[in-house]
Amino acid sequence: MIRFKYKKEQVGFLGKTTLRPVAKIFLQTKENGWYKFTPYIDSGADVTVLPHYVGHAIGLVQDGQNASTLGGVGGKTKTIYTKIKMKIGEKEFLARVAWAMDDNIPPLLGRADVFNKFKITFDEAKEEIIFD
Amino acid sequence: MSKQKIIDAAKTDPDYDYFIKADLSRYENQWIAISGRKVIAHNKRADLMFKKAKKLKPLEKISFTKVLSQKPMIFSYL
Repeated sequence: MIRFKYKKEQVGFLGKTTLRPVAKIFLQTKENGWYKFTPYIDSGADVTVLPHYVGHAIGLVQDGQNASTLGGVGGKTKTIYTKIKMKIGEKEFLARVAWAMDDNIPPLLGRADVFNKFKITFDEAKEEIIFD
Repeated sequence: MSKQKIIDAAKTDPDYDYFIKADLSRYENQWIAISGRKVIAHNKRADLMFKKAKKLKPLEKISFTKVLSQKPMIFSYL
């Protein structure tokens, strides 16, 4: 079981600040090392989204795969669906990710192959998220 | 919730704790690398941020992410 926190961030018209849930996860590199990554936890995202250079840094290559279009509230971007090994707390597992061909998208921890491995409790009053 | 031990990410990882607590608004929309409770590299371009960070520390010892916009965000990609 691991506890993550909300990050207080300034947001324009909402007045002062908002709380955004942030995880700390590890992504396995091609050389079997682990890179530490802190995506925002998004229960509304079907899949984890890796911005382009993050995928590049862990050794993903385009490999002739066709890019699909990833659609979000903010727009669309070209993406390649692939699988990577990630670690959250003490659990290591393969997860499908959308590797975006763009760095201008937020890094998101989405549901596919992740949310089904934990009981996840968002407790905004306590400013914590528990992955059990 | 089960009674197994809770790993507190903020207590076990000083760089995660720093990211959660620090006011990083000066890096809005930039990629940042954190190590030793400080931002060691930042850039609007992720590749340049990684390049600089890599010169300073092995990437395995760095926590990296993007500081989001101060505009309200609705994520939900699919």
